[in-house]
Amino acid sequence: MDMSLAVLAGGIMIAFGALAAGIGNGVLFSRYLEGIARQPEAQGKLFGQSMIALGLVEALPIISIAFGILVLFGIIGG
Amino acid sequence: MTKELAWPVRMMMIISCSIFIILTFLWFVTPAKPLIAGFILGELISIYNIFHLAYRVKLAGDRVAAGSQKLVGIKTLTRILMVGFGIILVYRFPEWIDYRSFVLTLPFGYILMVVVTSFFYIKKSSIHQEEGRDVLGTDSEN
Repeated sequence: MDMSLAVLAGGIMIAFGALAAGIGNGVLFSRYLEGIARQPEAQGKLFGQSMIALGLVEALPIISIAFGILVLFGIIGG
Repeated sequence: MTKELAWPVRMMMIISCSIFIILTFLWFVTPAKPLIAGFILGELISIYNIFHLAYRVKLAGDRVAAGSQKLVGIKTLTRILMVGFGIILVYRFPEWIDYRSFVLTLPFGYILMVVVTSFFYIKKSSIHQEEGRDVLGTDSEN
């Protein structure tokens, strides 16, 4: 019972981490491309600002996924 | 664009290489080798993720600016799998790499990028403000 719940917890951590990273990156990246398509000369400014936002968005899901994989491997590997 | 952002990229390379050299030195001199090895592995994967993200975003931006219709993504799955690869290494060699230090160092590159790029923009805006103040001062004097 406890083991299956831990497996579920690991799976949820990985799944929601990946989902959060995907949605966050998708929204930011689409806005970045829209901005470049409208104003190609603003690409340099947009690139720096979008990198700050992408870094902020992606850091937390990466940690969540790492912990999720650790939980799963810890259970499977004993 | 590359010229404009040369300073943050150079600064990130300098800081990450300095920390890597310091950690490698510490790995040789301290008895806590697994802890330092976890820091080194986490830092390397984190820096790889950051430069991969920057490369993909730049590539996509260049293609859109050139008017290309070809689809391009930022390959988030590659970065996630890179973290998975690090975890596999940690579990394959637990006596050599400590998992706690590895996971703690994973957001290092992201934090470094946000801090360096923000500092760059703050510095740039303050320089512009100072230049504007000088121009205004000379105008009012005239």
